[in-house]
Amino acid sequence: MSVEVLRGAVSAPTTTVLSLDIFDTVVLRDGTTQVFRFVEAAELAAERLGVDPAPLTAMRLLSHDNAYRAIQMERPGADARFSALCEAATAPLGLGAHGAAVLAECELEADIARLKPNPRALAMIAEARERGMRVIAVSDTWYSAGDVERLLLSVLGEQPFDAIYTSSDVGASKHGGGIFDRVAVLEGRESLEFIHVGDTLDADLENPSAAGWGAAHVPRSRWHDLVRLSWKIRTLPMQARVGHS
Amino acid sequence: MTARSPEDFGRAVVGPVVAEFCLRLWNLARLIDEPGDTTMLFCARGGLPMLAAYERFLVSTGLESPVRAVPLMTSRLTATRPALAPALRGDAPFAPAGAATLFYEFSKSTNAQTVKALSGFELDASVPGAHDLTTPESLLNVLVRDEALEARAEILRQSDRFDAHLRGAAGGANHVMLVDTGLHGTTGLLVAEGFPDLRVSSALIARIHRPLRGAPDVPTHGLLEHSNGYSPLRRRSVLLRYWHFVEWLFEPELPSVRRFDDIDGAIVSNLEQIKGWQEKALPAKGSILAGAFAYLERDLKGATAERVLTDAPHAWRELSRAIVWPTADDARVLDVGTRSHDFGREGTWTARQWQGPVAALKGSVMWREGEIARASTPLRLPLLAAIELGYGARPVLRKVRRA
Repeated sequence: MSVEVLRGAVSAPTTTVLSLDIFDTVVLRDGTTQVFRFVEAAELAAERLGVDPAPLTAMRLLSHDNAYRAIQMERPGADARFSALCEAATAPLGLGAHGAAVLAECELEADIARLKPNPRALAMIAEARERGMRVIAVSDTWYSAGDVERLLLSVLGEQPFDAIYTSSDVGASKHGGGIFDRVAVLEGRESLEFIHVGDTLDADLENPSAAGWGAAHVPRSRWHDLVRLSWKIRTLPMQARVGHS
Repeated sequence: MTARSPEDFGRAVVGPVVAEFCLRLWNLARLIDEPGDTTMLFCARGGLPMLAAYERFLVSTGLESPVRAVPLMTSRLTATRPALAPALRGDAPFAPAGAATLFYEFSKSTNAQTVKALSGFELDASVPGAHDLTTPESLLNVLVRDEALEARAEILRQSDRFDAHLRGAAGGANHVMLVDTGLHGTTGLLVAEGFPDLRVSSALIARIHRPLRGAPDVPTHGLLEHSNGYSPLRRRSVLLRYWHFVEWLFEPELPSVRRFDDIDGAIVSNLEQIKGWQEKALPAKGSILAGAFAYLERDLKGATAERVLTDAPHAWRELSRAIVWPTADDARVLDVGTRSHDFGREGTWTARQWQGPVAALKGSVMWREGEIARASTPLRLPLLAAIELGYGARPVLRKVRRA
């Protein structure tokens, strides 16, 4: 979506809040797969901790799968918590709280290295600011708002939002749809005051629309889809090596 | 080459696999957000040795269970009764999971036989419908008759007692995670239907999804294998090639839980009335499971999960080889003998004797690879290769059929 289209979208007099997705909207990933980044981060953490990377990688991947199993069992529609993921991965290896902190740090670093700013999204934010709108971020992620803030400061050099809401903190997600009503309550505004922009069709267009928000879909390019596919292929031998299917 | 004892096989191969399950279960429990509101209920009978294995894993690795872990005296039979109870108390039909269980377990039984299995009471032969084959509708029509009053009352009494037992085991938790061997998560579906106020989930060794329209949504996960069947590309799916072995491995020398009695105000299952049941729930000396416990207690002592993660890949390779390409020695070690159908019925499954290559290729309810290996036929390798090839070709054939 261009700034011109955004102008049209926010022209409704009731729209007072611009809500943006973070990943692949405000900051763009290079196409690497999640598993690739987990392995990269676990190997980095193992080097810093002076331990064998294979068990740490295996535990990180297992913890990711189990975190979403646990959510399905206990809190459907919510999201995993980053700190719990890291602790569950490191504790059985005898690495304790320090190990969990190192793993968390390495994951953030690995993620930051694979992200770049999206100038179009930053222009949207600037335009919204000029119009006097409040600008918030709503993201489906296991990161806390604090983690996202740290990540944005590293990638953008600034934290451009008035508030950051993550599915991990809020306990409801964009994919499940429940986060939009919660954010409206937390912001103390009516749903028709929001317009949400993001790259995923269901999470960023269909579900906010169903919650009464204005919504706009800004997908990544076809070229990016091809890059992502090449990373998926590249990750296959890695998945086989670490025994993750 | 000297023959390997079942205990040796258990220690070298099954031990790391069981330890990997325990590690995965611990990890899952660690990621539960409100551990104080969750209880892991290890479902008898198989769950009793599974709980014992989990406890040994915790002791050896120095980990604590993040979630309370206790046994649940249950079986599909006892879990079915609360799912049927609302219909027996009112005008509603049986709910989906209860009805489906009746269909799967009793569609070849008469209503009289089904009533006997569910209640222990003989139905008078003159009761209309007693000799009809069981369907949910025909069974309900029989059970609501005055002549079935005693049987109906007993099913409801047993339902209430199981209710009290389960709630006691849950210890006030609103989320009960049933831990069991597998395969379809039927007990979880039945418990969810019988206890609609509880959040029910299941953590299984392996799971194959069996869709059941209208049944409650019970999150069910196979922690070692979660798929639609064996694939040569997924080593852990070998469990599905010989599922009877997994069931047998964890099945203690104890009767299935069929009923609960009120003994001096305490609700006690028939299993718990066996003298020394706790000891009997532990593996027999010299068994494969005894070997697995030796791995958990001795080889893992003072180690971290790293040891499990190092040993497990080799163990899976060896287990896969022994099940898919068994030698006569493997067939002897992995032989499960005769197993009961259970669910209040008398039938059994037993390892079939060699009936020739065509019968072996056609399949067996137990373990046809073992049947081939035991026969000492010179066709062993070609037959095993043909079976493996068949499994490899399955996904391709499925795609061709759908095209």
